[in-house]
Amino acid sequence: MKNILKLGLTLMIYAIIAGLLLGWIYTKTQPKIEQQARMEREIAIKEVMPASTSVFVEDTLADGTVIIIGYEDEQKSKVAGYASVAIGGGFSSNIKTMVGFSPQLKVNAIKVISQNETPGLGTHIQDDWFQKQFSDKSVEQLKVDKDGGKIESITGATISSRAVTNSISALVEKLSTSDELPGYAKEKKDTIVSSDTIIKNGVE
Amino acid sequence: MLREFTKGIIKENPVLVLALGLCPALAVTTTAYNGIGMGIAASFVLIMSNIIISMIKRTVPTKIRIPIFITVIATFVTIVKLVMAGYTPQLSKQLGIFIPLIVVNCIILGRAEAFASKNGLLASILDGIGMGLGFSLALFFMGAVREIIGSGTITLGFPILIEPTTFNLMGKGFNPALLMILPPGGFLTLGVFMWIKQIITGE
Repeated sequence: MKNILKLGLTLMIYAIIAGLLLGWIYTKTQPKIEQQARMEREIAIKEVMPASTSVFVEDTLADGTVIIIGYEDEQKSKVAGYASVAIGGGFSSNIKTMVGFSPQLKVNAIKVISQNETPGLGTHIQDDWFQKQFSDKSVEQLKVDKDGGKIESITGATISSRAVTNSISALVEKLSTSDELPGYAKEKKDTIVSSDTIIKNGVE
Repeated sequence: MLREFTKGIIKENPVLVLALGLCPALAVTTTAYNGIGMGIAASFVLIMSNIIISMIKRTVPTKIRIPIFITVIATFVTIVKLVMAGYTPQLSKQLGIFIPLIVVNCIILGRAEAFASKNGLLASILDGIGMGLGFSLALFFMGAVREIIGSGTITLGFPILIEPTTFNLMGKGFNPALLMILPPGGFLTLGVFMWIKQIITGE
Protein backbone atom coordinates (compact mmCIF):
# COMPACT_ATOMS: atom_id res chain seq x y z
CA MET A 1 0.00 0.00 0.00
CA LYS A 2 2.71 2.41 1.07
CA ASN A 3 4.69 1.46 -2.00
CA ILE A 4 1.80 2.20 -4.34
CA LEU A 5 1.34 5.63 -2.78
CA LYS A 6 5.03 6.37 -3.18
CA LEU A 7 5.02 5.33 -6.83
CA GLY A 8 1.87 7.31 -7.51
CA LEU A 9 3.26 10.42 -5.87
CA THR A 10 6.53 10.15 -7.83
CA LEU A 11 4.62 9.89 -11.07
CA MET A 12 2.42 12.80 -10.06
CA ILE A 13 5.41 15.02 -9.38
CA TYR A 14 6.83 14.29 -12.83
CA ALA A 15 3.46 14.92 -14.45
CA ILE A 16 3.07 18.25 -12.63
CA ILE A 17 6.53 19.44 -13.71
CA ALA A 18 5.81 18.41 -17.31
CA GLY A 19 2.41 20.11 -17.18
CA LEU A 20 3.80 23.38 -15.89
CA LEU A 21 6.55 23.42 -18.50
CA LEU A 22 4.06 22.76 -21.29
CA GLY A 23 1.72 25.44 -20.02
CA TRP A 24 4.55 27.96 -20.11
CA ILE A 25 5.65 26.98 -23.64
CA TYR A 26 2.03 27.09 -24.80
CA THR A 27 1.51 30.66 -23.63
CA LYS A 28 4.78 31.62 -25.33
CA THR A 29 4.04 30.04 -28.71
CA GLN A 30 0.26 30.54 -28.94
CA PRO A 31 0.35 34.22 -30.04
CA LYS A 32 2.86 33.30 -32.72
CA ILE A 33 0.74 30.38 -33.95
CA GLU A 34 -2.38 32.56 -34.05
CA GLN A 35 -0.49 35.29 -35.87
CA GLN A 36 0.71 32.73 -38.44
CA ALA A 37 -2.85 31.53 -38.98
CA ARG A 38 -4.16 35.10 -39.36
CA MET A 39 -1.39 36.04 -41.78
CA GLU A 40 -2.01 32.92 -43.84
CA ARG A 41 -5.73 33.66 -43.98
CA GLU A 42 -5.15 37.23 -45.14
CA ILE A 43 -2.68 36.14 -47.78
CA ALA A 44 -5.09 33.43 -48.92
CA ILE A 45 -7.97 35.93 -49.20
CA LYS A 46 -5.87 38.34 -51.24
CA GLU A 47 -4.68 35.55 -53.50
CA VAL A 48 -8.11 34.19 -54.38
CA MET A 49 -10.01 37.48 -54.75
CA PRO A 50 -10.31 39.07 -58.20
CA ALA A 51 -7.44 41.47 -58.82
CA SER A 52 -9.66 44.57 -58.84
CA THR A 53 -10.51 44.23 -55.13
CA SER A 54 -9.34 47.02 -52.89
CA VAL A 55 -11.60 46.84 -49.82
CA PHE A 56 -12.30 43.65 -47.89
CA VAL A 57 -15.31 43.33 -45.58
CA GLU A 58 -16.01 40.26 -43.49
CA ASP A 59 -19.63 39.24 -43.13
CA THR A 60 -21.60 36.34 -41.67
CA LEU A 61 -24.61 34.94 -43.47
CA ALA A 62 -27.72 33.86 -41.57
CA ASP A 63 -26.65 30.19 -41.67
CA GLY A 64 -23.31 31.03 -40.10
CA THR A 65 -21.18 30.97 -43.25
CA VAL A 66 -18.45 33.57 -43.02
CA ILE A 67 -17.85 35.35 -46.30
CA ILE A 68 -15.49 38.09 -47.30
CA ILE A 69 -16.91 40.63 -49.70
CA GLY A 70 -14.46 42.49 -51.89
CA TYR A 71 -15.31 45.96 -53.18
CA GLU A 72 -13.56 47.88 -55.90
CA ASP A 73 -13.73 51.24 -54.15
CA GLU A 74 -13.80 52.73 -50.66
CA GLN A 75 -17.50 53.67 -51.03
CA LYS A 76 -18.37 49.97 -51.43
CA SER A 77 -20.48 50.76 -54.48
CA LYS A 78 -19.14 48.07 -56.78
CA VAL A 79 -18.64 44.47 -55.67
CA ALA A 80 -15.41 42.97 -57.00
CA GLY A 81 -15.91 39.44 -55.70
CA TYR A 82 -16.40 37.15 -52.75
CA ALA A 83 -14.32 34.70 -50.79
CA SER A 84 -15.37 31.97 -48.41
CA VAL A 85 -13.98 28.79 -46.92
CA ALA A 86 -15.03 25.41 -48.28
CA ILE A 87 -14.61 22.44 -45.94
CA GLY A 88 -14.53 18.87 -47.18
CA GLY A 89 -13.73 15.57 -45.48
CA GLY A 90 -10.60 14.21 -47.16
CA PHE A 91 -8.69 11.00 -46.68
CA SER A 92 -7.36 11.74 -43.21
CA SER A 93 -8.45 15.27 -42.35
CA ASN A 94 -10.87 18.05 -43.01
CA ILE A 95 -9.56 20.05 -45.93
CA LYS A 96 -10.22 23.77 -45.75
CA THR A 97 -9.99 25.72 -48.96
CA MET A 98 -10.29 29.47 -49.39
CA VAL A 99 -12.31 30.05 -52.55
CA GLY A 100 -12.55 33.37 -54.35
CA PHE A 101 -15.50 34.19 -56.61
CA SER A 102 -16.31 36.75 -59.25
CA PRO A 103 -19.50 38.82 -58.68
CA GLN A 104 -21.27 36.25 -60.92
CA LEU A 105 -20.17 33.51 -58.47
CA LYS A 106 -17.71 31.94 -60.88
CA VAL A 107 -14.64 30.52 -59.15
CA ASN A 108 -11.79 33.00 -59.48
CA ALA A 109 -9.05 31.10 -57.66
CA ILE A 110 -8.69 28.71 -54.76
CA LYS A 111 -6.10 28.10 -52.08
CA VAL A 112 -5.95 25.15 -49.70
CA ILE A 113 -5.41 26.65 -46.25
CA SER A 114 -5.44 23.62 -43.99
CA GLN A 115 -5.17 19.89 -44.51
CA ASN A 116 -3.57 16.82 -42.98
CA GLU A 117 -3.55 14.49 -45.95
CA THR A 118 -0.96 11.80 -46.66
CA PRO A 119 2.43 13.47 -47.23
CA GLY A 120 3.50 13.06 -50.85
CA LEU A 121 0.04 12.07 -52.08
CA GLY A 122 -2.91 14.01 -50.74
CA THR A 123 -0.70 16.98 -49.88
CA HIS A 124 -0.41 17.64 -53.62
CA ILE A 125 -3.81 19.35 -53.42
CA GLN A 126 -1.68 22.34 -52.41
CA ASP A 127 0.21 22.30 -55.71
CA ASP A 128 -0.29 25.16 -58.16
CA TRP A 129 -1.31 23.01 -61.10
CA PHE A 130 -4.10 21.42 -59.09
CA GLN A 131 -5.42 24.65 -57.60
CA LYS A 132 -5.26 26.56 -60.90
CA GLN A 133 -7.67 24.13 -62.58
CA PHE A 134 -10.59 25.52 -60.62
CA SER A 135 -10.50 29.00 -62.15
CA ASP A 136 -13.54 29.91 -64.28
CA LYS A 137 -15.18 26.49 -63.93
CA SER A 138 -18.97 26.29 -63.85
CA VAL A 139 -20.82 24.22 -61.25
CA GLU A 140 -21.34 21.38 -63.73
CA GLN A 141 -17.61 21.23 -64.44
CA LEU A 142 -16.69 21.26 -60.75
CA LYS A 143 -16.30 17.50 -60.46
CA VAL A 144 -13.21 15.34 -60.64
CA ASP A 145 -12.61 13.66 -64.00
CA LYS A 146 -13.65 10.27 -62.63
CA ASP A 147 -17.06 11.73 -61.80
CA GLY A 148 -17.43 13.28 -65.23
CA GLY A 149 -16.16 16.77 -64.45
CA LYS A 150 -13.27 18.89 -65.63
CA ILE A 151 -10.99 18.69 -62.57
CA GLU A 152 -8.03 16.42 -63.14
CA SER A 153 -7.58 14.46 -59.91
CA ILE A 154 -4.20 13.74 -58.35
CA THR A 155 -2.84 10.28 -59.09
CA GLY A 156 -3.06 8.22 -55.93
CA ALA A 157 -5.14 10.82 -54.11
CA THR A 158 -8.59 10.69 -55.65
CA ILE A 159 -10.30 11.00 -52.27
CA SER A 160 -8.44 14.21 -51.42
CA SER A 161 -9.04 15.66 -54.91
CA ARG A 162 -12.71 14.78 -54.76
CA ALA A 163 -13.08 16.25 -51.26
CA VAL A 164 -11.70 19.62 -52.38
CA THR A 165 -13.75 19.65 -55.58
CA ASN A 166 -17.03 18.62 -53.99
CA SER A 167 -16.64 21.03 -51.08
CA ILE A 168 -16.17 23.88 -53.56
CA SER A 169 -19.19 22.97 -55.67
CA ALA A 170 -21.25 22.65 -52.48
CA LEU A 171 -20.10 26.13 -51.47
CA VAL A 172 -21.08 27.55 -54.87
CA GLU A 173 -24.45 25.87 -54.51
CA LYS A 174 -24.94 27.32 -51.06
CA LEU A 175 -23.88 30.86 -51.94
CA SER A 176 -25.93 30.97 -55.14
CA THR A 177 -29.12 30.10 -53.27
CA SER A 178 -28.43 32.63 -50.54
CA ASP A 179 -30.17 35.97 -51.05
CA GLU A 180 -27.87 37.77 -48.66
CA LEU A 181 -24.91 38.26 -50.96
CA PRO A 182 -24.58 41.98 -51.66
CA GLY A 183 -24.09 42.75 -55.34
CA TYR A 184 -24.98 39.24 -56.51
CA ALA A 185 -27.78 39.63 -59.06
CA LYS A 186 -29.76 36.31 -58.76
CA GLU A 187 -32.92 37.83 -60.28
CA LYS A 188 -33.34 40.04 -57.22
CA LYS A 189 -33.66 43.78 -57.34
CA ASP A 190 -32.55 44.44 -53.81
CA THR A 191 -28.78 44.23 -53.66
CA ILE A 192 -28.18 46.27 -50.51
CA VAL A 193 -26.70 44.55 -47.46
CA SER A 194 -29.66 43.41 -45.41
CA SER A 195 -29.89 44.91 -41.97
CA ASP A 196 -29.44 41.68 -40.04
CA THR A 197 -25.97 41.03 -41.39
CA ILE A 198 -23.22 42.44 -39.29
CA ILE A 199 -20.16 43.98 -40.81
CA LYS A 200 -17.61 42.67 -38.38
CA ASN A 201 -14.32 44.13 -39.41
CA GLY A 202 -12.45 45.02 -42.55
CA VAL A 203 -9.64 42.64 -43.41
CA GLU A 204 -7.50 45.46 -44.65
CA MET B 1 33.53 8.05 -25.47
CA LEU B 2 33.59 9.02 -29.14
CA ARG B 3 32.28 5.55 -29.96
CA GLU B 4 28.97 6.47 -28.32
CA PHE B 5 28.64 9.15 -30.95
CA THR B 6 29.79 7.31 -34.08
CA LYS B 7 28.03 4.00 -33.43
CA GLY B 8 24.60 5.45 -34.26
CA ILE B 9 25.60 6.59 -37.73
CA ILE B 10 26.39 3.26 -39.41
CA LYS B 11 27.28 0.43 -37.07
CA GLU B 12 24.12 0.67 -34.94
CA ASN B 13 22.06 2.86 -37.24
CA PRO B 14 18.59 2.96 -35.65
CA VAL B 15 16.69 2.47 -38.91
CA LEU B 16 19.00 0.21 -40.91
CA VAL B 17 20.41 -1.99 -38.15
CA LEU B 18 18.29 -1.75 -35.02
CA ALA B 19 15.12 -1.49 -37.17
CA LEU B 20 13.61 0.98 -34.71
CA GLY B 21 11.35 3.87 -35.69
CA LEU B 22 10.38 2.28 -38.99
CA CYS B 23 6.88 3.74 -38.94
CA PRO B 24 7.96 7.38 -39.48
CA ALA B 25 10.85 6.19 -41.67
CA LEU B 26 8.39 4.60 -44.07
CA ALA B 27 5.57 7.11 -43.77
CA VAL B 28 7.16 10.54 -44.15
CA THR B 29 10.03 9.87 -46.54
CA THR B 30 8.10 10.88 -49.64
CA THR B 31 10.36 13.92 -50.14
CA ALA B 32 13.94 14.55 -49.04
CA TYR B 33 12.87 17.63 -47.08
CA ASN B 34 10.24 15.71 -45.13
CA GLY B 35 12.97 13.24 -44.22
CA ILE B 36 15.23 16.02 -42.96
CA GLY B 37 12.38 17.69 -41.05
CA MET B 38 11.27 14.49 -39.37
CA GLY B 39 14.90 13.56 -38.63
CA ILE B 40 15.66 16.90 -37.00
CA ALA B 41 12.45 16.92 -34.96
CA ALA B 42 12.99 13.36 -33.72
CA SER B 43 16.68 14.04 -33.03
CA PHE B 44 15.80 17.04 -30.89
CA VAL B 45 13.34 14.99 -28.86
CA LEU B 46 15.84 12.13 -28.61
CA ILE B 47 18.70 14.33 -27.39
CA MET B 48 16.53 16.20 -24.89
CA SER B 49 14.92 13.04 -23.52
CA ASN B 50 18.34 11.36 -23.23
CA ILE B 51 19.63 14.37 -21.27
CA ILE B 52 16.69 14.51 -18.88
CA ILE B 53 16.45 10.76 -18.39
CA SER B 54 20.17 10.34 -17.68
CA MET B 55 19.87 13.15 -15.11
CA ILE B 56 16.79 11.82 -13.34
CA LYS B 57 17.63 8.13 -13.61
CA ARG B 58 18.43 7.83 -9.89
CA THR B 59 15.07 9.24 -8.80
CA VAL B 60 13.01 7.01 -11.10
CA PRO B 61 11.64 3.85 -9.44
CA THR B 62 12.14 0.85 -11.75
CA LYS B 63 8.48 -0.14 -11.57
CA ILE B 64 7.18 3.10 -13.08
CA ARG B 65 10.12 4.01 -15.31
CA ILE B 66 8.16 3.54 -18.56
CA PRO B 67 5.33 6.00 -17.71
CA ILE B 68 7.90 8.52 -16.53
CA PHE B 69 10.01 8.14 -19.68
CA ILE B 70 6.88 8.55 -21.80
CA THR B 71 5.92 11.69 -19.85
CA VAL B 72 9.35 13.20 -20.52
CA ILE B 73 9.23 12.25 -24.22
CA ALA B 74 5.65 13.44 -24.71
CA THR B 75 6.54 16.79 -23.13
CA PHE B 76 9.35 17.40 -25.60
CA VAL B 77 7.25 16.24 -28.54
CA THR B 78 4.55 18.75 -27.60
CA ILE B 79 7.19 21.47 -27.34
CA VAL B 80 8.47 20.59 -30.82
CA LYS B 81 4.93 20.57 -32.19
CA LEU B 82 4.10 24.00 -30.76
CA VAL B 83 7.39 25.56 -31.85
CA MET B 84 7.03 24.09 -35.34
CA ALA B 85 3.47 25.35 -35.72
CA GLY B 86 4.62 28.81 -34.70
CA TYR B 87 7.87 29.11 -36.61
CA THR B 88 7.82 26.65 -39.53
CA PRO B 89 4.11 26.41 -40.39
CA GLN B 90 4.80 24.89 -43.81
CA LEU B 91 6.79 21.98 -42.40
CA SER B 92 4.31 21.56 -39.59
CA LYS B 93 1.57 21.18 -42.20
CA GLN B 94 3.59 18.73 -44.26
CA LEU B 95 4.50 16.46 -41.35
CA GLY B 96 1.06 16.80 -39.80
CA ILE B 97 0.16 13.76 -37.76
CA PHE B 98 3.70 12.37 -37.70
CA ILE B 99 4.97 14.85 -35.13
CA PRO B 100 2.69 13.68 -32.29
CA LEU B 101 3.64 10.15 -33.31
CA ILE B 102 7.26 10.80 -32.29
CA VAL B 103 5.99 10.01 -28.78
CA VAL B 104 5.64 6.38 -29.72
CA ASN B 105 8.77 6.31 -31.88
CA CYS B 106 10.61 3.27 -30.57
CA ILE B 107 14.05 4.84 -31.06
CA ILE B 108 13.41 7.40 -28.36
CA LEU B 109 11.97 5.08 -25.74
CA GLY B 110 14.49 2.45 -26.84
CA ARG B 111 17.46 4.74 -26.22
CA ALA B 112 15.96 5.95 -22.93
CA GLU B 113 15.52 2.40 -21.73
CA ALA B 114 18.67 0.82 -23.17
CA PHE B 115 21.13 3.67 -22.83
CA ALA B 116 20.23 6.89 -21.04
CA SER B 117 18.85 5.18 -17.95
CA LYS B 118 22.14 3.32 -17.50
CA ASN B 119 24.77 5.83 -18.59
CA GLY B 120 26.08 9.24 -17.60
CA LEU B 121 25.00 12.61 -18.97
CA LEU B 122 27.80 13.17 -21.50
CA ALA B 123 27.59 9.65 -22.91
CA SER B 124 23.81 10.00 -23.20
CA ILE B 125 24.09 13.30 -25.08
CA LEU B 126 26.62 11.78 -27.49
CA ASP B 127 24.42 8.73 -27.92
CA GLY B 128 21.42 10.97 -28.62
CA ILE B 129 23.27 13.08 -31.18
CA GLY B 130 24.74 10.03 -32.92
CA MET B 131 21.47 8.11 -33.03
CA GLY B 132 19.62 11.24 -34.14
CA LEU B 133 22.14 11.83 -36.91
CA GLY B 134 21.91 8.21 -38.04
CA PHE B 135 18.12 8.42 -38.08
CA SER B 136 18.13 11.76 -39.95
CA LEU B 137 20.65 10.55 -42.54
CA ALA B 138 18.69 7.35 -43.17
CA LEU B 139 15.46 9.33 -43.56
CA PHE B 140 17.09 11.93 -45.79
CA PHE B 141 18.57 9.39 -48.20
CA MET B 142 15.37 7.34 -48.25
CA GLY B 143 13.38 10.50 -48.94
CA ALA B 144 15.79 11.60 -51.67
CA VAL B 145 15.70 8.25 -53.49
CA ARG B 146 11.92 7.93 -53.24
CA GLU B 147 11.32 11.52 -54.32
CA ILE B 148 13.69 11.37 -57.30
CA ILE B 149 12.21 8.14 -58.64
CA GLY B 150 8.63 8.72 -57.51
CA SER B 151 8.16 12.40 -58.39
CA GLY B 152 11.23 13.30 -60.49
CA THR B 153 12.09 16.15 -58.14
CA ILE B 154 14.19 16.75 -55.07
CA THR B 155 13.23 19.13 -52.27
CA LEU B 156 16.10 20.42 -50.20
CA GLY B 157 16.11 22.71 -47.21
CA PHE B 158 16.65 22.82 -43.48
CA PRO B 159 13.91 23.54 -40.93
CA ILE B 160 13.91 27.15 -39.66
CA LEU B 161 17.28 27.97 -41.34
CA ILE B 162 16.83 27.33 -45.08
CA GLU B 163 13.53 27.56 -46.95
CA PRO B 164 12.80 24.33 -48.85
CA THR B 165 13.25 24.52 -52.61
CA THR B 166 12.09 21.90 -55.09
CA PHE B 167 14.42 21.09 -57.96
CA ASN B 168 13.05 19.37 -61.03
CA LEU B 169 15.64 16.77 -61.97
CA MET B 170 13.93 14.94 -64.80
CA GLY B 171 12.90 16.37 -68.16
CA LYS B 172 9.32 16.94 -69.32
CA GLY B 173 8.85 13.42 -70.70
CA PHE B 174 9.67 11.76 -67.37
CA ASN B 175 6.86 9.59 -66.07
CA PRO B 176 7.49 9.12 -62.32
CA ALA B 177 7.22 5.66 -60.78
CA LEU B 178 4.41 6.57 -58.43
CA LEU B 179 4.86 3.30 -56.56
CA MET B 180 7.97 4.76 -54.95
CA ILE B 181 6.11 7.43 -53.00
CA LEU B 182 3.37 5.01 -52.04
CA PRO B 183 3.89 2.75 -48.98
CA PRO B 184 5.31 -0.22 -50.97
CA GLY B 185 8.06 2.08 -52.29
CA GLY B 186 9.01 2.79 -48.69
CA PHE B 187 9.52 -0.90 -47.98
CA LEU B 188 11.47 -1.42 -51.22
CA THR B 189 13.77 1.52 -50.48
CA LEU B 190 14.31 0.40 -46.90
CA GLY B 191 15.14 -3.13 -48.03
CA VAL B 192 17.67 -1.92 -50.59
CA PHE B 193 19.22 0.44 -48.03
CA MET B 194 19.61 -2.36 -45.49
CA TRP B 195 21.20 -4.50 -48.19
CA ILE B 196 23.66 -1.73 -49.16
CA LYS B 197 24.54 -1.25 -45.49
CA GLN B 198 25.30 -4.97 -45.13
CA ILE B 199 27.62 -4.76 -48.14
CA ILE B 200 29.45 -1.73 -46.70
CA THR B 201 30.01 -3.33 -43.32
CA GLY B 202 30.75 -6.70 -44.95
CA GLU B 203 28.30 -8.77 -42.97
